[in-house]
Order: sequence, then C-alpha cells, then structure tokens
Amino acid sequence: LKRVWFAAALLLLLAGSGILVSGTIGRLVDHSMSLINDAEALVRQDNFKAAGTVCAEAADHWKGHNKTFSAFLRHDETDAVEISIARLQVFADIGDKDDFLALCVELLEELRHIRDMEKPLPWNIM
Amino acid sequence: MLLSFIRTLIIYPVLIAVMRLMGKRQIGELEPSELVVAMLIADLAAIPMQDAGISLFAGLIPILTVLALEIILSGLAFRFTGFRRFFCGKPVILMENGKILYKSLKKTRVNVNELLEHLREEGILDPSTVKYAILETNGNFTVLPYSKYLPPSAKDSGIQVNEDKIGFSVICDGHWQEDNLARSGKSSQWVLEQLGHHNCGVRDVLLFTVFPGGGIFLSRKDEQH
Repeated sequence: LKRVWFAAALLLLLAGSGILVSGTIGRLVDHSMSLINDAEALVRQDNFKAAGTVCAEAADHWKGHNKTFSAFLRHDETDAVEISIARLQVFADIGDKDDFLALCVELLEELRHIRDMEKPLPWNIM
Repeated sequence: MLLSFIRTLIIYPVLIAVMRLMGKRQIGELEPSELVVAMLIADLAAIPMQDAGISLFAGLIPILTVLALEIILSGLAFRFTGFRRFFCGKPVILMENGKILYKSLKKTRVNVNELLEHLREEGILDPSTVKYAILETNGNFTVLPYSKYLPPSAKDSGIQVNEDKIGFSVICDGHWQEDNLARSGKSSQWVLEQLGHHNCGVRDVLLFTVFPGGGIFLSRKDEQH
C-alpha cells in the first residue's frame, strides 16, 4: 500500500509540476510578447532606437530564461525565437520598417503557438 | 509538460483497454497491463534519446506517469476483485472433462488447431484425457489431464526419495558472496581450508558452492576443457 500512496503522490507531483510549468512558460512567453508588441508599436512611430532597446530587452529576457524554456519546450522552437529576436534587433538598427513589422507578426505568432501549446486545452491534448 | 502528463493519462488506459479487447492470444507471458507498460516505456525512452531537440522532460514525464499509473492500478487490482477482473481479465476454461467448450473458444478466438497444438506441446495426443484446459490471463495455456493419466509421483509409488538440497554459491568469479556464506552455515575459514586442499586461491575461483552436509562444487577459472 505504501507504494500505491507513493505513486499517488508522484502523480499529484507530476500534475502539480505540469500546471506550474505551464503557468510559468505562459507568463514568460506573455512577457516576451508584450515586449515585441511594444517594439512593433515604436517602429510604427518610426522610433527605431527605442524599438532596438526594447528588442534588446526581449533578447535578454529570452536568454535569461533559456534554461527554463530548453528544459520544457522543443529546442528548435526556443532557438527559432532567439534567432528571430536577434533579427528584429538588426532590422531596428538599420531602420528596415517593413521587414521588422513582417518579422514581428511571424515572431508573435510563434510565441502565441508556444504559449498556447502548453495550455491543457482539449484541442491541444487531442 | 502538462500536455505530456495528460496525454499519458489518456493513452495508458486506452492501450490497456485495447490489449484487453485484442484478447489473450496477443499477449503471452505478460499481463495486458505489463505488456502496455513494457511497450510504452521502451518507446517513450527512445524518443528523447534519439532526438536531442526534444526536452528530456518530454520523455521522463510520461515514463513517471506510466509508472505511477501502473502502481496505482495494480494496487487497486490487488485490493478489489472486480477491478482485477477488468484490469487483468480472468482465466477461461477451454476444455472441461475431456470436452472442448466451443463457446469459450469462440469468445477467446482460439481455434481448434491452436488448442490441439497447445495440448501436443504438453505431450497430450488424446483430448479426451484432458480434465481441464485453461487459457490464463497472461495468454498461457494450462493443461490438466485426468489424474489417471498423470505420471505417478514418488509418493504414489511409495518410494522414499531424498529432498533436493540447494547449494549456496559462496564465491563467484573470485568474489565472496557474503549473504550466501552466512546462509551456508560455513565460515570463510572453512572455505579457505577447502580451497587450500585444491591448491586454489579465492581469486582463482570461478564458482565455489557449498551444499548442506558439507559437499562442495569447485570450478576454477583456469580449468581447461
């Protein structure tokens, strides 16, 4: 019976960890999305310098939590986000508005996908 | 991570149900749940091993979930008979009193040829000599002939036989087996003396077994055919 209780505790621990990780990933990705949204708004106002700073902040945020992302997400997805943020910085530096905005849409979609895929929703489970 | 957990919670019972529906013929040696665990764990472990792009947790979470489910379900099966029947199934009698039970064959989808094959494997050529043939929950066949067709035991024949006595391997591959030495009731000193008689050191021993009563079996590493 001890083993059954141990297994039940393990199951609860796994469920709890899953919920915690899902929440943490969602929160971190949301923050990245909000930074990218800010950068996008700044570029629409042709404020490339400020947008570059926000992109650098987004890159730092992503790299700062890279261990968490890599531990729980597909590595190719986290790498793709990191590369896209770096490209955004370059577009902001050279003042390439069109490419910046296009990449913003792409990156936000990627981040939304990552965030939503972690949610225990019926369509994700199926 | 949470998705892997929930998916495993869904897939595991579904696989068990599938194995149960497939019937005992598909199993062989393992219970349905054991087979499912073996199948799942092998696959789950292989995925993160092969693909470095997949997080290790993606493999570990489902494995731990399967482990926990298996322990809980087998604990429930141990405690509740009804659950055990659902989880493991129940043995099916295919032959009784020399008669083949067609309904049971149909239910388990074991055809007559397969039944006869299993009887032959048990050394039975005449089905009428079978008292019971049972398909066990792990897919194995148990065949019990009428008592009159069973070979006589020593007890039936009134013969006195000595009980087989198990030997204890006290040295294996040059290493002392302390537990076995304690069980053998002999001291290491006594063992060393025996080795001394054979001009052999502990490191030279492949296997040294002590039998109750003091008999020994010694195999040396340097023994030639």
